[in-house]
Amino acid sequence: MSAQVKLAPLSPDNGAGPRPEAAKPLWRRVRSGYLFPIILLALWVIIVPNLPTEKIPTPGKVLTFMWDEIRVNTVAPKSVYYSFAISLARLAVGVVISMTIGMIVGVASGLSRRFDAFARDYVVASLVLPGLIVALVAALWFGFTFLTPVVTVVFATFAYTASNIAEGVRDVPRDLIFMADSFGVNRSAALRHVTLPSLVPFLFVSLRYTISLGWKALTIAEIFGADQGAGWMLRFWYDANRIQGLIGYTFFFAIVTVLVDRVLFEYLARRLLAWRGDVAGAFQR
Amino acid sequence: MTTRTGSAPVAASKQEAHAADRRMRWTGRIAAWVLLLGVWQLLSSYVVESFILPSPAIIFDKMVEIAQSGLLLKNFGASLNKLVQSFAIFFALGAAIGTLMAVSRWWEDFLRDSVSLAISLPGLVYILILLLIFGSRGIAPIAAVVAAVAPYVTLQFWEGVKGVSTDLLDMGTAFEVKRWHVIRHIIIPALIPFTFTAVTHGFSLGWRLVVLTELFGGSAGIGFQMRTEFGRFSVRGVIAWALFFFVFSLLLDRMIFAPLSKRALRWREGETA
Repeated sequence: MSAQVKLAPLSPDNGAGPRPEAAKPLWRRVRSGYLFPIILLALWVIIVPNLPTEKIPTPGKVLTFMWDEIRVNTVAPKSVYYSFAISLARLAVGVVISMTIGMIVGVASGLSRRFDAFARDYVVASLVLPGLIVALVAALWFGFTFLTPVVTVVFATFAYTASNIAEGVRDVPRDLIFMADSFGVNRSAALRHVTLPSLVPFLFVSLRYTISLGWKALTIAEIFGADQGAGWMLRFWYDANRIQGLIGYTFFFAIVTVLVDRVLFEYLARRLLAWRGDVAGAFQR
Repeated sequence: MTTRTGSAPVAASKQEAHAADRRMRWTGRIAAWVLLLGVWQLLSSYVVESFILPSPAIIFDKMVEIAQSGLLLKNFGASLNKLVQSFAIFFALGAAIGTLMAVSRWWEDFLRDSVSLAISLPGLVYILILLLIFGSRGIAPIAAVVAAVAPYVTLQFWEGVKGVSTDLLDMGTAFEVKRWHVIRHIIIPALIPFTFTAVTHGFSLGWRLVVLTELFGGSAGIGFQMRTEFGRFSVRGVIAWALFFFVFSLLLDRMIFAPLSKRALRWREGETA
């Protein structure tokens, strides 16, 4: 998940080969990989109760908090299920709009150099524009409405799709297009069988960036400009001065992120990229 | 002879095409900015109230006012100070852990999942938790930025150091190249590209997080000013400070990092051409 680190679209050699670690027996990998969190947890269990301060919660306190939240036994005005459901709904709407705008801009700048010259500065500005600025301005404009988080997600992410898709369009195999032309394949068939499949990996990478960046932007937007949602719950526990609430919600965030990642992406990867046998490995980064 | 006479017009037309391309790029760029400013001006003067979307001129006046009052320098200095302090720590930490992970299999397995977990958490979470534990003054903002950015630097070094060509190192040993020459001609050139990426990303990410911490706590800094203006519902103030924030990131990137990396990576140009 090097979302901010790399913008490069998929390169075929990236993780395509089997990783050497896979050859190791499972228990060894599991043990060394989980050792560090276990050590941290042990330190947490041992050190925190002996600290002179009451502020830092023990793991037991956090777990109790999470269990209470899961059973909807909470002092917060909204349950954890409702909060994440509404946040995911906002995220979904934002992602769909962002990807649509991004695809239109991306395809246009990939096809026309004139349009690319026009749109480039917008795209670059949006790439470097931090979500928090968009969130603040959106919160001032739209208040505590559905629009604030959605607009933030769209503005914070559409440029990633646009630049990725533009690369993808420039990358469509010319030979195949020429071949389709000379064999008299009609336009829509060429679009369906040549252009679209070669764009799918780029779309996929864009979707990943959009969701992971959008999720972060959405959280910030909900902290400043919402009165419900998962991000707002972080603010609620922060204002209530309950660190176990913050840490507990952090774990909830992690769980939801992993679920989205596993369920959505593995399903999509299997469905959309089945035709490209070698590509599966590239998405396991 | 024929090739020479033939190549001159080709070169000329190539240059011409290049110039035309440049012209087109600048026309497009100017058109984009004119359109943006025009739509903004129209919206603010005819469609919405000025307090919702102040016109560009009002924002510019506000920026001049902030700069002249000395507020800019003071808050900018406060933010920059935090950035520099945290940068020194997270870069050293990330470089050390990343290199360790690249060099040692055991450490790699030990830390791999934790690094990916640390990256996938939003920086905001570190900020909220650390501010709540340590209070908003003193060490907390710096600790939060360090916790949020160090994993990214770690990742860069982890992948980058792994990419150092062992073939070249083996060859160096086999041909008994002096240790210093190996470092100078093999290791350093291989380290430079991703070190630059790590520095650039570290700075831009760190800058955002410093401002984000200031939004939640603290008594000076660009983020603090944004929070104050946000609390007054002043779109004018928020946009003015946001533009300062933005301009600084751009300047840092265009004036310092881009030329530096171009200079440091000069040796690669022959290869790619």
